[in-house]
Amino acid sequence: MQFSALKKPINFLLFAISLLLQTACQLEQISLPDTGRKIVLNGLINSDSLIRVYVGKSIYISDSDGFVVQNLDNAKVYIYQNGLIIDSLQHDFKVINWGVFYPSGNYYSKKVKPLPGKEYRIVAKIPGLPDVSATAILPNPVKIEKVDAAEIRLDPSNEDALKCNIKFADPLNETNYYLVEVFYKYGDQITPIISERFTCKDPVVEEYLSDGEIAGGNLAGVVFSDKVINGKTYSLNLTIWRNPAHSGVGLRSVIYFHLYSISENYFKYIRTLNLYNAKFGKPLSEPVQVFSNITGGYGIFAGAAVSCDSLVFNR
Amino acid sequence: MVKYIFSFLFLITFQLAFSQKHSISGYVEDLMTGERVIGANVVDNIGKNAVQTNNYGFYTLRNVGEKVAVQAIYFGNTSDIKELTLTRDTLINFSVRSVKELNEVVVVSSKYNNSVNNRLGFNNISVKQLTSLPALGEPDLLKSIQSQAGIKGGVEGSAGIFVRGGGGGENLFMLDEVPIYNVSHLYGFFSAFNSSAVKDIKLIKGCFPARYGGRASSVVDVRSLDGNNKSVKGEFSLGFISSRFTLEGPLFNDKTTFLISGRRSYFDLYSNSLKSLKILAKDFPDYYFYDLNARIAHTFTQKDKIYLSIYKGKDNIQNKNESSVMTGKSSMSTESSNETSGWGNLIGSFRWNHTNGTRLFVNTTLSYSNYNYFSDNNYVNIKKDTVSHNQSEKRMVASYRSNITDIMIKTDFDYALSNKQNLTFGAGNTFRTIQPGENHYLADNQEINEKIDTSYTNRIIVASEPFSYVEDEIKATENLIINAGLRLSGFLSDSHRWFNLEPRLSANYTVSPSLVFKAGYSRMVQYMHLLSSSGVSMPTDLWVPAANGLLPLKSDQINLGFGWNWGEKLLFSVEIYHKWLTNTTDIRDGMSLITDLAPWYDKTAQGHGISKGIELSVDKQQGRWKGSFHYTLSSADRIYSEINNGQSFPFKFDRRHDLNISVNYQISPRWDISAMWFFGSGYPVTLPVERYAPALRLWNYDTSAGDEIGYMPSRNNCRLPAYHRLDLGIHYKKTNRLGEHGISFDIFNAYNRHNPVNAHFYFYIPVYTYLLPCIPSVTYTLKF
Repeated sequence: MQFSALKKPINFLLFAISLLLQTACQLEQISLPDTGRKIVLNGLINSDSLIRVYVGKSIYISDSDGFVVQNLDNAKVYIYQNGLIIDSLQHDFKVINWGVFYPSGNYYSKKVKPLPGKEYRIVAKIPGLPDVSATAILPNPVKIEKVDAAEIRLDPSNEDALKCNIKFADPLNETNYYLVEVFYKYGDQITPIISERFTCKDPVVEEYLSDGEIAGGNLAGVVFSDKVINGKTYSLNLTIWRNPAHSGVGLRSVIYFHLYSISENYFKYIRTLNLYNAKFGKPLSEPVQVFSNITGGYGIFAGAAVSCDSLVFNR
Repeated sequence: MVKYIFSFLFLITFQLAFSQKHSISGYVEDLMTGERVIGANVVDNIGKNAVQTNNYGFYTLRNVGEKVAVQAIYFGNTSDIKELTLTRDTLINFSVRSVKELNEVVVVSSKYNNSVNNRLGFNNISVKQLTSLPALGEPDLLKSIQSQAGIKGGVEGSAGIFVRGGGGGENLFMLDEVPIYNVSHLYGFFSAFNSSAVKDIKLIKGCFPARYGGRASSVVDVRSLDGNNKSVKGEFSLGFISSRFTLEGPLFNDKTTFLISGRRSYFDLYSNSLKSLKILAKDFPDYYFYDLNARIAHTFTQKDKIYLSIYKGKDNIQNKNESSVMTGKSSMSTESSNETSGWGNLIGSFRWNHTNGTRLFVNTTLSYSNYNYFSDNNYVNIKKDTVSHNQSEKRMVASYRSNITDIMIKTDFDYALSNKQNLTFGAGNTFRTIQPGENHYLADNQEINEKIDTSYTNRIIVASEPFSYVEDEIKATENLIINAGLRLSGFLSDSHRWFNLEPRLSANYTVSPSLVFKAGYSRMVQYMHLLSSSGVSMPTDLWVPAANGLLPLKSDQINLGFGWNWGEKLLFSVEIYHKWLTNTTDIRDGMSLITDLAPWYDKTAQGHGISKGIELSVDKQQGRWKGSFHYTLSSADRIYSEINNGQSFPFKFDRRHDLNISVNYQISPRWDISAMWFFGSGYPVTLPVERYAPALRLWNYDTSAGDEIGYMPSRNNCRLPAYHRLDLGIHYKKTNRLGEHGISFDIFNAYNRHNPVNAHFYFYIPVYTYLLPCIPSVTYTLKF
């Protein structure tokens, strides 16, 4: 048989194979049920601030035009303690949509600064949407016993830095969760330690607060539980790359260390949110459900109690 | 209660054992090939007794009178009747024409047509049926199994079967009694079993006999051909994607037979032509698979026969790229990458059949089974100055390996106490070595003089899995057959010791020769878990033992049903099952088997599963029109305390309705046409239905996520669109002096249904991916 006689079948075969391969992995649209909108309530309350929460609403998954921050300005938001309303929150039009705490709250209390060990219940009502409620207990603060700092030179970048130890005593026989943030005051302005200035490779750290928008993907806080330090006095190690002692002449600068005792719900929220973001769109990973404790809606209402210490540098 | 049952069984055993007269035993062989026939009936027409041949074609007819008129019957084909006067126990072999050689099956009396008497959960899959139905390229065993009631086939592009709500790793696939871990080629489009080399297929999905164990949901017992002892025969098949050959015959004399069968795909051989014609993208991977079966069987005497079998199968996928660019006036950068991954099984077995007298049949098996998966990624970037000839190299290597090896020894005894009672017992041990995943990274950058060489290796686990069992099949009355069994299994590793008793019980009650009611209960224990990313059965799935916090998987299943042979033409079967799975294993939220470096036991959670369903089958396997109708109504759920907030959610392969209809029409002795239609309601998937603002913006650069949260009410909260597909086939055959020529023209997915594989979002629009469009294929086969 001549080879040319095989050409037609081979051409057919090539055509058939190419048809198969070119049509493989195509997409078809699915319609998902639209079950209506719900209230989004985000409130991370702590013992050094007045209560401020964000109240918005969700959008349908395929609503490509809608911005996900859907503020609601007609909500009735109440704070309860021991079954009694202790405040009705005020609406604030100044909502800031950036920062680690995103978006910042659009409802605030003029008088209620949460107290450690107390339970607070929040209820939000908006016409046309199901009511939502949630409860948060502020843990008792764990005091920073001591902050040490030593000037070091980093290898191989040859930059000056501060190596800091935050010493605290974890209470025995109870599960505790912690969030550590570091702020820097230079002149009159207090800012978070940002721009690759704060690292923490301590083995107890379980989660990182990392904000790409304001910090170029760098660290804004670290989160951990006491599962390996339960009942012990522990010194958390962290490194602050920008040594304020060397910046500026004749100005006073301060580094503030905040040790928050956070609730388990707060910890769960951070953990699942980090995991959700890390696995987003990855087909071989199981999808992650972000923790929520809002009954009837979405979001988180959780509390933290703060303990502070600082290092002052005078030039 | 258990004590009374066993006392009752003992009394029956005692009485039946000592009331016998003479015995006849022997083998039933195929008239044309000498192949021993499994499941043939041997009937004494005078004493009106009948028994069935075992998995090695052996039978024992006991308690017969002095005069007998015996014959063998297999699917309507009968041997000559042998009339004898017995003075002692006698060995008689029968030759019967195998159904495989026939164009049309002869109608047979239901008395010896055992389909209606099949135990609950048992399906015998006819090898002939494999070749008479439409296929994608070639007849496929897995696809045929997937068309049975109660069996789900996963999604296109994934391997495995899902039986009565069980997971993909809960099925015991055995090739000649050796467990085989991965049974798919080309991501499940082809099975690892070459249909040319297969003699018998049994699918068991409930009421498991005690001889089977080690998996929780099903057993697929595949027996390959021994080899023709009459003459050298062969088969050659040229297909669309792959080709195969089989050669078998006597070696030296009719006591020794050989069989060798091979198959290889050849997409990799012509993909370069497609790439050069720009039909395919330059970086489209090359792919091939092959498998090889070889077997030698030798009959020493009527009492002793040995088998030596080897199977080797492999899939290999490779993607190579190289490109060079001038990065300056005199500097050139050359990048090359080579990504290779593959998986394969190697199994070997030695088996020895021995008969002791006329009552006892003994099979001893020594086997080796290995499954491995590998993935190697190599990237090299060479920067070269074309003037000074200085060069620097940046090299990165990432590899992943997993491996499991079994060495098994076991002995099975088949002891015929009487024509009404058969005792099967045995024991064995599997010595297992498990390497559950090793990641290796190497980065060598000469530019900055940096070298990283890191391995993340799960500890190699050495364990053994001993077992022993006893199984008693008793014809308690003329109408009642009971099969009671008990299996003791264990799993021993350096850190864990598990032992479990697995009771099995089933009963068939014959109301009339055409109507049989059935019931049963079985417990199965599984000491190996198959971890699967995203629930899709893939070669990357990881076998891990019940250790490091993982408990053995247990299944308890109760079954009820009946079989009804209507007018000798249609066989109706209805089965109801309820299955409880304890210690099912799943991947925790967000975890991935390969990309997450945590040990496997930190990525998994254990929970429970409940599945239930009703299966309806109607089969017509006689006449020119043949066909089957299989429908399943079922549900399967999972509950994990650490997943989905502890709430129940649908199993990944939960399918409410599953329907398969197949027909075959014999137009003439040369032509037949066939059609097969599948319908299945959509599998569940996890998809967000709303979006909302997070309280913290924890931006992730890797995935560009952090600005919003997608709300999923629960795991597997949505359903993919329904799956349906029509396959058509037309087959022609003609015999001349060269042999029997056959041409099959098949159309897979005839109306080009876009069947969903998975779902995701594309710019906020939920979409699903589909893989296989309408595919025509032509296969030429020559049997000589």
